[in-house]
Amino acid sequence: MRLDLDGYAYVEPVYAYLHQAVLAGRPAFVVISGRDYTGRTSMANCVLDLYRELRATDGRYLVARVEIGHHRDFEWIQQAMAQLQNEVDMAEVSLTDKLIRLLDGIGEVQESIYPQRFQGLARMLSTELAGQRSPYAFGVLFEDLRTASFVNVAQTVFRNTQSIVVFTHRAYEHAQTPAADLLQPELFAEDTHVVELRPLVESQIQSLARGRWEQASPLHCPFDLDGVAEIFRSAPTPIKAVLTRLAKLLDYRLSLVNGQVPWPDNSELGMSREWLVATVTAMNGWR
Amino acid sequence: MNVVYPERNPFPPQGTASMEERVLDDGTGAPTASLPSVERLWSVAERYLSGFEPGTRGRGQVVFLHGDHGSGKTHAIRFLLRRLAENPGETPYRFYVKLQDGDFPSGYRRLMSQIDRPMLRELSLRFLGTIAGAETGRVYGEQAGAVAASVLRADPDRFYSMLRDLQVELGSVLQAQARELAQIAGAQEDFQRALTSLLDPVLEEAAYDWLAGREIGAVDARRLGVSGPIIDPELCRYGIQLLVALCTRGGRPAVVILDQCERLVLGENGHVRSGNEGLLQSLVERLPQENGMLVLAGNEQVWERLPRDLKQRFGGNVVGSSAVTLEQTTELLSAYLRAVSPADDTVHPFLVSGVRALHTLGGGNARRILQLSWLAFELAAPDRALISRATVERALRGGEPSRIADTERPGFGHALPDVLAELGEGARLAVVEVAVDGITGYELLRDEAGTPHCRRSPVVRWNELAGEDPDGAAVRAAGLPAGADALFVSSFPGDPAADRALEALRAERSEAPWFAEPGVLVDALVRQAVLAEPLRWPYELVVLRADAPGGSPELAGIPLFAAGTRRGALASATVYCPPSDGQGTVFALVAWREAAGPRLVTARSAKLPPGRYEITAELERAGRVRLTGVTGLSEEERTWQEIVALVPARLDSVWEPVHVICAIEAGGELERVVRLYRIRQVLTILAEGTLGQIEVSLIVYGGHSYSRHTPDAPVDVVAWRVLPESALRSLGELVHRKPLESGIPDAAQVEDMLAAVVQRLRAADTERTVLLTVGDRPPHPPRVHASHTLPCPRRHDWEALLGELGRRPGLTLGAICDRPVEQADPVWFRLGGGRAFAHLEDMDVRQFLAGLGLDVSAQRIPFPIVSEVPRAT
Repeated sequence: MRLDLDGYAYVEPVYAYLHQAVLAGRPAFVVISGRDYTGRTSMANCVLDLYRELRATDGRYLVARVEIGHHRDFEWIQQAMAQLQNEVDMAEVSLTDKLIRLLDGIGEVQESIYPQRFQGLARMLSTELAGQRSPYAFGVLFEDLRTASFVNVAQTVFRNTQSIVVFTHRAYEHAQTPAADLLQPELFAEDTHVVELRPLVESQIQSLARGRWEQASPLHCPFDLDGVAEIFRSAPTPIKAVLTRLAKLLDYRLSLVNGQVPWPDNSELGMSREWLVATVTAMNGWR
Repeated sequence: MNVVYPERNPFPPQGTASMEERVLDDGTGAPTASLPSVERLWSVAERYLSGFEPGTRGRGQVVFLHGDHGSGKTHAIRFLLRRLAENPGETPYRFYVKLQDGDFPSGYRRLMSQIDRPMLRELSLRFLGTIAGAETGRVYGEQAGAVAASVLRADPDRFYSMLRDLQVELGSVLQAQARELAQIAGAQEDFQRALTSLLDPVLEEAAYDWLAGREIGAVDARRLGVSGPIIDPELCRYGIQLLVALCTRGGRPAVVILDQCERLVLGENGHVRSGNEGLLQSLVERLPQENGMLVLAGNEQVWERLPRDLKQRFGGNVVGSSAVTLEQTTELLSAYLRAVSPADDTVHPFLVSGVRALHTLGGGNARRILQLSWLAFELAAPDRALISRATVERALRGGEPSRIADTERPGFGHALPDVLAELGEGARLAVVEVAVDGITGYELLRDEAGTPHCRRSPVVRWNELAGEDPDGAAVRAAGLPAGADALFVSSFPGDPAADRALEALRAERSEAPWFAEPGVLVDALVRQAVLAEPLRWPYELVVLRADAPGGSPELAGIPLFAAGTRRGALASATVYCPPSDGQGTVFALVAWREAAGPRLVTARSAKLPPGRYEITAELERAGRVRLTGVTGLSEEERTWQEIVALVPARLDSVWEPVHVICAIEAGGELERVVRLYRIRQVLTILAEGTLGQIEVSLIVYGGHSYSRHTPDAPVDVVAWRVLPESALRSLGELVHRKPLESGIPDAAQVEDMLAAVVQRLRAADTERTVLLTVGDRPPHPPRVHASHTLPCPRRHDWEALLGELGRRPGLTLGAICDRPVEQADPVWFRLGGGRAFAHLEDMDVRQFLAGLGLDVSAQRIPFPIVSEVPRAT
């Protein structure tokens, strides 16, 4: 069950984009952009999962995951191709001898011509995976873009495939990440969808606190939601930081109470507005 | 007192404090006396250390240490480094580079190699930690930030656990780091990429090599995301700024010492390499900003050649290592002797006469004194003898009477100026000194303008010449240029190596004059000869001569110094500087070589407001003239041909100084505003045009009050003889002022205005003057008049005043009246001088001004202008 955090990230537009790509038989390129702890990887997994559903290959879905560690694009594309090869091997998919030879030669590809070489390889792989008696879908996740041009390179490679390529982007202004204005969809040669993740505001955090609790328990939520809003009022907070803090508060509250009586009969376990504010103020001071 | 004979020679045989480009914290070093240069250098460092505070900016220091070779600069630096290592607080990072030549990147590489990879990695991590502390403070409050900063200072690796615990966003830290780096190292993404890659084990080595200025492979460069190795001098400067910022942000002071700056800054023939000088200038500005201390050391020549604005940046932190006194000689000996006999605080075994001889024969040069001390001790020690004047003199002669000393010949110091005077334009003279430590070449060159230049080569030490053919090696080391005259001098006759080299040189150039003079200070005498040489040719300041408006300008010269003038002479000239282009007005000096014509000596330019300038020229030496009276002079970078090409064929405008007086009737709301608007147009055109030195005066007048309740106000002289821009500002304020008292409707204070003008114009003011009156009403008569207009309460007679003004040479009248010509009071024709009359609402301002002789255009002129070139005296 997905939580409906109004404004955090709308799944419908990306779902529609993926749906169009699948119907048209063309690749999907999605950039997930956000600050640290805003859930870029979780959202990327969600997008990959949506794509899996749309391709309806009954779980036959190969995904290569690459964390970009420096600025030499060639190595990361090469690594993605090698990982796809591993996935193919693990799934015991039967490929033509020619494709197997090409896959085995990934390490030999010259850097000067790699986009073209890998483009042909990706196309053949896509064709043969789709042509299996039980067809396979595939996707690639590139984490932590260093430059916007990497998206162009990846699009060149996967342009003739039926696949999904997801990129995560740290939305900051420094030399190890591309500026957000370089990742506008209209700047890319291929149809690209950009999902922007933002830190949560108070109302979203209230909704998250209640929703997450209700997913796990039929009892009513021990967090005073006004208090939750109060402690996160100073600035929007990334989702991961919110969840970590709520978990810490919950653990801390439990650690303070000796009695065996469980929540909600033991009202001491409730976290009132005053308690939340005082505790968080003290916690901030300890950092 | 416990007096003991030293067990070993306490003095260095070469008398030099050599420096390795490696700063060790072993706390050892050469002994030192508290010479003034040593103490002053340390006092600057003390100020720096006491003012150092992590987390602040702009608390650094810069200091320039200058002195002749052997005067103890390196010694003072060694002492500084040792004291820094002993600092009771945080030991400062110390970086020392001895610059070899104009190749700044090479110096950068040697500087960076003094910090190893783990240390640079730690500095990078500490830098991130500092920023993370600040980020924590921003998000969680000041107290939390202070705690985080303190924890990270103690253990920089805690930064990683902060990331794991989601206490700080890595992206936010890098973003803040990018902002800081933009200030430190410009908008250079490469630096941030390399700096952060230092923390990645895979990329650490490549990142370190790149930051250290080394070559890295293409693959590594791509991985780091850097565009190429640091070979651009400007990038090297950024690199040094970054290094210092990393050190100081991490909480420790950092001292960068660049020694032998002359090799970086002075090129062939002693010309300043402007690019490298600019680098030093930037470092001088930026390192203190980054809380670092920069020590520049160089010889007297480079200090003299540095531009004034750079020198001024050192403020009081200029330390000269001048000749040591007798008392300091004693201290120096005592310091070295104490190093081997700590219990002894005397100069035993030196007698007073020996100390005096060392001081005299060493010429006050610390290096030479130490060399002589070493030699004298060597002579005396076998017999444990006391060292007297005789011992020192014997030491100077190498222990035996000199084989080749020839005291009958004229001294080197006397001969050199004569030899130099014989040196023709374009010719070279090689002066070669052989001394106890090695061989040194001085190349003297006279350029086409007759200016002598000197370049000193580094000492080639005798041990570097050892081999199969030491004589040939000595001749090669002397570097005698082909076709150059030569002159040889031995400053240590009796020293076997020096004598042998001199003989080899004489065999090579038998015609060359030579000298053997114990203790002669060759470097000082060469410098002295160059500095003291009189001018061979007269010097003139290049100007444009324009005798008449609209005439063709000609290049001409104002004589400043006659041939034979020696340094220290002063000359002055008055020029008018017209508006120039963005590069400024060019002040060029030429040497006038009779039939060969003028040769450019120097060309500097300054962006100056147009106007008249009294320039004083001081001859600092041949080829170097200091100009005062204009500010912001910098070396001209355009070629002479490019500058001369900017001289227009004709001067469009009048250019001589002019004083424009605008008198405005300022009663009545609407009319006042329209008049002020017209005057604004006039001033705007004058301000933007190429008119000569314009000064503007603004006078506003109203009407007489004739009321007992309202005192009669005098005319208001709002501005007198100010620049048009300033007058425009005053005019802007006038618009918002209340209208003046209107008085009666049929007359205004015109006569008072004329009286004020007459009173203020001094008889001595001879420049052109334009009186432009703007208004409507006529003046009051001086007494009761048939018109029944009330008389001026001050009895000013406008006709008499106007007549007085009309007789004044160079005065032009102009009038702008509210009414058209057929309706205006006839007085307005007279206020317009009978011809320059305009209707306020229907006039062409430019045409009107042209009628007053105030042509304007957008012409830009590169040189100062004079109307008449004075004769040479």
